[in-house]
Amino acid sequence: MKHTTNQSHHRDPQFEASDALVSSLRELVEHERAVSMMTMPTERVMRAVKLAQAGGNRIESWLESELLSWFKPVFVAGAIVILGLAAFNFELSQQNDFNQSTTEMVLGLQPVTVASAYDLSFEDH
Amino acid sequence: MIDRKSPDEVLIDAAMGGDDQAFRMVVERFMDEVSRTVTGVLGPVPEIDDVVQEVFIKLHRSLPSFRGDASLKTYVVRMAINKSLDALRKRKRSRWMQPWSSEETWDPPSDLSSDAEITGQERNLVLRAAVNRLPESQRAVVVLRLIEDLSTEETAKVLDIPYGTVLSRLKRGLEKLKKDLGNAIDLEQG
Repeated sequence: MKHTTNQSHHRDPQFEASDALVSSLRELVEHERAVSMMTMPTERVMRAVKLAQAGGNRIESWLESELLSWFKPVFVAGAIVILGLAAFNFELSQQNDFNQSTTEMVLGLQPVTVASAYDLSFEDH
Repeated sequence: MIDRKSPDEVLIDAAMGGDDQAFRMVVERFMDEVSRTVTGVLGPVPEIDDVVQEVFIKLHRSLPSFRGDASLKTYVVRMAINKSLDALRKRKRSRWMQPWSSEETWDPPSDLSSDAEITGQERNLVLRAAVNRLPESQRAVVVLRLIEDLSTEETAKVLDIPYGTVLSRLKRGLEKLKKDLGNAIDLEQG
């Protein structure tokens, strides 16, 4: 489409672009568009839109189903491991003679004693 | 009461309902505006087609969010200018990352022969170089206001900036263009 020179820009008093400059700019863009763009742009756009639509939907539904299918077993396995570790810690903590809180026992925290506080072993720190 | 919808809204409703012909009509209707805007910002580069496609793909995806606050043309041109500026920034980044990029050396195909055509090509090269030297904010205003012939109000809406900012950017852009062009183009003719 040939773009005709519209005079609407003269409404702004600050605007001092000459018609020659405006025409030159429009001719430049028309020329660049003609040499740079491939033919039948509408057909290519419609194809690209359909591809993007199909691809986008496919990827989204695939990701959704994959996430759902992976999340459940990973959650169950993680919960079993955490509960097992907590039970193991609790069981082990009951075998010693220290007076520990339930949290310390479940988390398997070592009891702090006067002896351990004065133990300056470099391997432990 | 009869619910009267604008032609834009009718087209959008049909396109959203999966009517390919309706969206094709939207594409055909705005192809010139989009391609001119993209070319105006980027110049004659190979990625023009890709950017134009991206604009329409984005438009297709965002049709449900079109609420009719602005005209469909404003909505589409806004997407075109934003995508063009994104591509411009991407090109600048890739040029910085890879200074030996071949983009600068890309020449559009031509089969010029007469003196008049050669003069026209030289003139276009000078003009394009001057446009490319404009900062992107001024370039966007020059493209929308002078090349796309939007009004100052429409340009302000598209760029989401105040009316006065459009005028000041246009003024500075024109001053820079005229200074850069010098006597290469007779600006006083017409």
